[in-house]
Amino acid sequence: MKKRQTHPEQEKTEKLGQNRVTLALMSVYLVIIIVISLAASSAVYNQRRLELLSEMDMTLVRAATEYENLTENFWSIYIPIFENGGNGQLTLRSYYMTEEEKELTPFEKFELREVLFDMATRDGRVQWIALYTKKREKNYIYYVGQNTLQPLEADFPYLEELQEKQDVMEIYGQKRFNMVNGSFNGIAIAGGVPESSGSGALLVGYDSSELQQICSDQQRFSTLQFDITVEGKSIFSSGSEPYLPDSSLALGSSGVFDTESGKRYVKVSDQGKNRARVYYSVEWKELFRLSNRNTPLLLLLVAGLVIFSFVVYGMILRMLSKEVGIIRTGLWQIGQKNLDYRIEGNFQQSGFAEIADSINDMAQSLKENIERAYEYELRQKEAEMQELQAKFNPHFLYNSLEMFRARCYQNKDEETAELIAQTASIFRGFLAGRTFIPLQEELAFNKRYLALFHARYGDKVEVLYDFDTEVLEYGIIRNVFQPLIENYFVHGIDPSREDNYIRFQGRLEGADMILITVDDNGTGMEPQKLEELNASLREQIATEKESYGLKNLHQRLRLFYGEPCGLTLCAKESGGLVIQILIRRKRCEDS
Amino acid sequence: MYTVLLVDDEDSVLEVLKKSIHWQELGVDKLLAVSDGLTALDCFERQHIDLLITDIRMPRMNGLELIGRVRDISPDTHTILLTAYGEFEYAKQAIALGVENYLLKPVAREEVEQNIRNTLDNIYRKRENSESLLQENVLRRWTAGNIGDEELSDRAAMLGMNLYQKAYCVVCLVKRARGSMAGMCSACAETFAKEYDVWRFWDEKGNYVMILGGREIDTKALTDTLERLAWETETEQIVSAAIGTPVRQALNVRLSYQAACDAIELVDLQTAGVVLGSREDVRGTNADLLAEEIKILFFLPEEESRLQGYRHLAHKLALGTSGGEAFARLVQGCLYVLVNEFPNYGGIQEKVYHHSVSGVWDGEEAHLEQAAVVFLQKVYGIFAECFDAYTPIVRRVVLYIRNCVLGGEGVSLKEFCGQNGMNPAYIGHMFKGETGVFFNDYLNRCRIERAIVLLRNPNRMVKDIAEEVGFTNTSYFVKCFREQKGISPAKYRQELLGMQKKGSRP
Repeated sequence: MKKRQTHPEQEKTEKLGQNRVTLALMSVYLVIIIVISLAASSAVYNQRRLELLSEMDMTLVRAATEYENLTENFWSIYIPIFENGGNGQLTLRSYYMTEEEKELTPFEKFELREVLFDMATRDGRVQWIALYTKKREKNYIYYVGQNTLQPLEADFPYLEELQEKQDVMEIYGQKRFNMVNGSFNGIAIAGGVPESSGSGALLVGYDSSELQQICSDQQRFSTLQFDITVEGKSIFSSGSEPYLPDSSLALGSSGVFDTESGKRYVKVSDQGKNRARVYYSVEWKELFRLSNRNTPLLLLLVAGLVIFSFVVYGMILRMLSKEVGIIRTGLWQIGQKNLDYRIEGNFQQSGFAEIADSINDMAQSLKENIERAYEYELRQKEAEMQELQAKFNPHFLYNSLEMFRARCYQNKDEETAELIAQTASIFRGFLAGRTFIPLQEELAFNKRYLALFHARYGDKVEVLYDFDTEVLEYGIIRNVFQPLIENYFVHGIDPSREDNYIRFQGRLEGADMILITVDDNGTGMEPQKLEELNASLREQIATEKESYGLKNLHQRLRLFYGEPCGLTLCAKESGGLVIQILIRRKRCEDS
Repeated sequence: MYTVLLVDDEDSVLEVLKKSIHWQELGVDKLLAVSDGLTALDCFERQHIDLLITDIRMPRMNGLELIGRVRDISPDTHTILLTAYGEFEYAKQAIALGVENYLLKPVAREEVEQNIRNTLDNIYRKRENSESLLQENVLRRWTAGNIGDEELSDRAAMLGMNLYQKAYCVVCLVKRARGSMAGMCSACAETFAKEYDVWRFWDEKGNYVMILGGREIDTKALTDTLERLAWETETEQIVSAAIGTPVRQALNVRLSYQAACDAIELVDLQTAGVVLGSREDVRGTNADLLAEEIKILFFLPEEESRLQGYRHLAHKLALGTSGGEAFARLVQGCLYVLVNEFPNYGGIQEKVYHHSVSGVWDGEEAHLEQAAVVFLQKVYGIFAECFDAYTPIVRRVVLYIRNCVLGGEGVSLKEFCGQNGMNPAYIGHMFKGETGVFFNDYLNRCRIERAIVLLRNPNRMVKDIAEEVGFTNTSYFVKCFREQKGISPAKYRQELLGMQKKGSRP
């Protein structure tokens, strides 16, 4: 209850943000935003990763195909030279069959060169062809670029492999060695020599730059490297160090492996002839990073959205709280019984204008209702009185009183008998059924009432009248003079004087009014008190105690006749009080 | 003697009506009481009924219906309604039926009594029933002062009379020569109605009475208007008008009326003008005492003591104010006594002025005493003539009342009748018929007049005086006193003593 009485301005600290519902709503909103943004980032991440991986897969396919071509080509150049009947077969047979410590003769060299040239021309990628047999002291290597045949140096990197070579075909990883016109970087494929053609090996060096080219197509990743291994031995690596996972790699598999430098993602090509594995590997971190390339943007967007919505929300909230404040102030004012207060303001919130309007309407109708209820109460009282009168058979009352009076006479108590008669006539005034009576009747009742006071004050007070006869044609509500008379005899009369008077005057006023003036030469009233009384007449009756006397009279007159009828009190210069009663001209037959 | 029928379904009400009213003194010998309308109607078949007092709501036939029937069977029966129904509709019907009055139960005994007296008075005077009867009754009683404030307010509301004007004044027109005064009456009524509320009726003395009510009443303007109207209607020689003193209270209209009546009664109409001058000292303590002294002298049985009294009175008069004034006072005092004592006796003024006053006094101060005695002797002649006109029994009643009051003894008509073996109702009837006053009214008047004399003694208490003159109840005495004199006995005594002091100074 106490809170109700504090003005809403003092409560402004109590922000809307503290509202639990608002908080919960905001949290839910945030959670939803986060979930959605996470889902979006995950989707974007997956999408991106898939994109990146498929790109790399393409390269892997290309690399694998390249490698396969390389090995396929080997056979296509190797097989024909050992075919029967060819120049090559003979030349090579002689080379591998003959145990010779000496160098080849220039003619032999020339022949061999021719054969190898033929061989090399079949595949542009061939850089060199090395011939090796244990039977010869000196072996030779043919450099395709220079079309020269050179003796095989002892520092030839594949020498070791050649010496140990057992299978028909072996592929060796790239090794660097200096050729005549530069260094070699490529892979070498060694093929055996048919038994009919002696023993030894033929090693073809291929340029791996094509492969390298393919592998370095992917510029996006810095840690991406393609590797080709055969039986665990690195054949080719696009990186600086070949990456050799510990476990065996199944064709077409992919996975994440731990390495010393962190996790790596590995994808193996499904092409893998001759036990070769072609795969690429990339650092997981980098893959993750690159896959998430769009995520920060997305998150930024989400954050922006969140901030934006908070700003908008805050603005709306501020506007709302401002407008709610206006409405609250209005409600508070109305709550303080200030029913004339109206909520004013240009409401941005469409609903608020209607709320304000309906509150205004409510206040209006509340006011009207209160007035109506008040009016109703007064009417109710009148109705109760009327009901009482109706229930109560006056004929019975008066007959009974007449009987009592008769008894009193029989008992020689004349005084009581007369008192009963007097009481009866007062009753007749009170109990008459109507509330609107001819002025004449009201004056007659008034006279009767005055007679009671007259008995007390005797000749000390004179009652004067001055009513125009036209005025008496009209009616008046009941008991108008009684409170005035009471007021005079309680407050106004000066008992020390012998020439007191109270005067009742009635005149037609304006076009449709009657002005009744009641004045006296009594003690009067202080101007300030008079003003207060006049003001209080116009206020609504708040307490039961107030509902009698002048205020009640004023309200009854106002109620019955409407504005501007009612009581006005003023002071007389010569002392005493003037009470003016303004009523409308209304005949009894009219009502 | 009259027959009265009371109709009410409540026995106790009938009982009270029977007991609280001194019917016999009013001249009523037969008092019938029934409890319903049909039975009441039966009574009319068997005998003539002069006055019907009935309730409205009764079994078998209601009061209004009863009156309606009675109007056909017995048109000259007067009726009073006594009912608990205050509704205006009933009142309107009752007025249309020409009832004497419409009384609301429970009603004060006095109101009933006043109404019954008034109605019986109408019967004595053979006034006919009419729709205006109620209003005339009210106006008559209003001017006569025998209507209560309460009743007057009620009836005024019923009749639409404004009792709340600022000022009232009574104007009486009286015929002083042969001719018609109807023109003058209607001209006055018409003219005054433009400016004032006017109520008018004929009083029992034959005066045309107009009660004027308005904001301001200027007697000078009234005088001018009356003179102009008399000239216009050519009635200057036929009509005289008296203007009462304007009063502020409706209840005091009777004072104005009294003043107007005094002006008419105490002047010589033969020589008077159109508008009679009113004299200030007609009423008042001085005149009252003089009148009372004259009356006491006139009622003295021995001539010797009367003569002695005349001389004494004449001497006292001569000692006071100047001769002319003193003699005028004496004339008026005598007139007052005669008019009051014999209201039914016409032409008293003429007799006094033309047979007694003329030639009695030559205007010499020295001869005043002698002249006064002669004048009193002459007036006594008129007094005796009037008194002797009464039947012996009425004379005996009058003397009985006066002697008892003077002696401080109780007065009872019944006792008197018992002693003389007479029917009280008959005596009551005779008394009212001859004197024009009811037995009880006459008695009360005597008592008040006696009280005035006793009030001169400042040491006597009002209560004792009331007792001595025969009132058992002091407040009733005060009420009666006020009714007759307009002020309370205490105030009256103040005036009396003040006057005596003034008088004894020079």
